[in-house]
Amino acid sequence: VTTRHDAEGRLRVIPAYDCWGLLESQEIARVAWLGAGGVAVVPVNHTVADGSLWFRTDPDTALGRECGGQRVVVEVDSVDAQTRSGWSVVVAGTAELVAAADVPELVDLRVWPTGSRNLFVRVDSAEVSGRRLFGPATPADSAPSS
Amino acid sequence: MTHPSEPRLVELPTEECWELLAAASVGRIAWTTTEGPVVVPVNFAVDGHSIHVRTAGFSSLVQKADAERVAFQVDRIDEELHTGWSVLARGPAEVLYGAAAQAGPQVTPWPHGPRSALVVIDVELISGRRLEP
Repeated sequence: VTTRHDAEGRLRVIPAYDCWGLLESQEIARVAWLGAGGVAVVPVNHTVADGSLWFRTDPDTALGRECGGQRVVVEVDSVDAQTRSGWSVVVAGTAELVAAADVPELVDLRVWPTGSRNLFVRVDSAEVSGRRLFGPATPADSAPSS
Repeated sequence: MTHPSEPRLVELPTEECWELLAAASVGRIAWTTTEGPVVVPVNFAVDGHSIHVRTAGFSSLVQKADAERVAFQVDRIDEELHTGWSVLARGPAEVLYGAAAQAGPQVTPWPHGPRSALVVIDVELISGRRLEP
């Protein structure tokens, strides 16, 4: 039996089904792609719909200009500095640019910043993977000592 | 549709990017492999204009990132207020082992395990943006 104490400080693989749930739990993801200046990472609003991960960007940004047809990764995480714990989920796939008119209606993707951001990007979810880091056991986790 | 109360993106000055980077304890390091980019959250420390990340000597990071250009990203997002900031630092990485890996600021990664290697990113480019209400 694995106790919470055994798990402390250990990275555990998150099953794919749970990875999708965690992806949907956060509005912001970070996209990494290989651009003219090397690998770059920026936050984007994202959503999961139609079996794919979607994000929106401005066609005039480096991301908008460079990601089409490229292999990209989209990362979502949640970190708690107090308990030194957290999780990270990554979707790796090919970025496909989709014109706003061709985006399926079920893709409900709002963006926070002002501006056009009318470039929709669909990431064919070739692979999803995730890891969770457990923090130290709290008093509530352990049985009273004798 | 633009609305006066919608947040707007503002470029951050370089000094503020460094301050935000130095104050964070977790960032995301990105590097390139033949299968595409990889992103992993890591603990880190800032030393001058370089970023130090401690990792295992057999990790994919040390195998692929040595002498390559990598990216390092930190952010703080408020999902309720729809605000936040993001800083991106880029430059070549160098992997150090042994005594050389013990130099500089001490980084204690949250995950347990062997951490014999030190990845030092020599930051050549740093930029950041804040989403203001």
